[in-house]
Amino acid sequence: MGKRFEDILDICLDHIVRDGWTVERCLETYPEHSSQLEPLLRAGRSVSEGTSVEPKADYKQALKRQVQASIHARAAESQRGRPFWTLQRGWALVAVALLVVLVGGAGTVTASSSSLPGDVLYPVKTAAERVQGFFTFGDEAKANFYMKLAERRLEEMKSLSEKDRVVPASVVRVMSSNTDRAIGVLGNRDVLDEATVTRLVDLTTDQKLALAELAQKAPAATRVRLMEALERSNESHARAVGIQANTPVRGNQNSAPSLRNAMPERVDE
Amino acid sequence: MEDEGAFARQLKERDPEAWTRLYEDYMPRIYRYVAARVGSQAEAEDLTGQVFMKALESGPSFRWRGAPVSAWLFRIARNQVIDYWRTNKSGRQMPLDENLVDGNESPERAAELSSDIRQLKWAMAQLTEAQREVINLRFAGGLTTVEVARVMGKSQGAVKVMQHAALASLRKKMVGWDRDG
Repeated sequence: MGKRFEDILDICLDHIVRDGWTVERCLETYPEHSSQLEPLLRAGRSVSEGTSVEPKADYKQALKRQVQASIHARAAESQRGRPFWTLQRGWALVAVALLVVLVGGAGTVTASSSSLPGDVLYPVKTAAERVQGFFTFGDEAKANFYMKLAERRLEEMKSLSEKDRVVPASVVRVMSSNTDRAIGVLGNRDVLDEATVTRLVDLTTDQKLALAELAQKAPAATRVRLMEALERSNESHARAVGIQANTPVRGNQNSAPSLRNAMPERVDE
Repeated sequence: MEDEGAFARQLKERDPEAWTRLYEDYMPRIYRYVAARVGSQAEAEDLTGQVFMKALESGPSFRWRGAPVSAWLFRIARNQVIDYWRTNKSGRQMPLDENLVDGNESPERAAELSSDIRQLKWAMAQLTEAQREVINLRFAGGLTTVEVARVMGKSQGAVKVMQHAALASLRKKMVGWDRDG
């Protein structure tokens, strides 16, 4: 079967744009299509010329330095990894939480659920969460689990603030990373539960509001950290809204908001 | 493709050499694509920087599924541009500023190009959003239609059809394209 005209046009454009062919050379290669090809190839070549801007040399160098510095910093960071003793401690807590549950100490875990960072029972609470996470299967269930953790950290931040207690950086960090994990999972799904998407958007909205409020009340040293978290939260919110706009909702394919029509679709990275 | 897989793995592992190669190979193309989409040199510079920082951030979670690395990077660029227009709703589509003409051109050639770019800008504005995206990724970004299809989440056949329709439309809208053809 012969090539379709679209295929021939595409091959010629590739040669012109990438291999430096002239329009004439393409026309000679496909003489039977030359009259139809010629105006399109000339249009393509003009677009190619019209968009061939080069970044300024000093900008290119400055950005290269910035990217390389970030690469090296991150490479060093990932090589350092997590200290061995923290892994042992983490798994020991998981084992303790499992034992507590199995030996009938579920009440301790229940009691720990209202604990806050810095409280004696707080490590039991987070260890129990890790056990729960281990036994959560399926993408959407995992995403809901990550959102639950992010919601809990958010509530803890609010409670600590109400009690005039310090909000540890780790709580903010864990909240953000669990939100990102949920977004990462949901962003890869072809179709989603409406409740899950709504929960994600609500979560990121709450985070933005709470962080903005906390940042206002916080002392200067903490404020910088909270403002950074707020910035990250704004990005998470934008991504959540993007997922809501671009992912069909299970059982209701027409429910995507109007943004779908207003903007091109984001495709997950 | 095997090389592409190895390259993707190095990027995921944050290998500095692989990242430098990625930057060298793609930075000018990403810049051209972003410049064509936002039409301002300053914004294009900001957004291009953000694309690489975003890529660095998401590198460890990058899952290679056989698609070219270029598709992953351009998808980040495309999403950055979409987010940019979402937060800067005024003037949603202002591609190809005539001030973006390369500074190395002679004054005569620069004037000629400026005029062509003004025409091109107007003609591009008449295209559908999807056609405009295909043209920008294909010509400013220098991607193949396979790569464009991956970036946009469409089939290659659909991209080729849009490319054909877009060029036919541009051809009709613009005059004097045969001047030096």
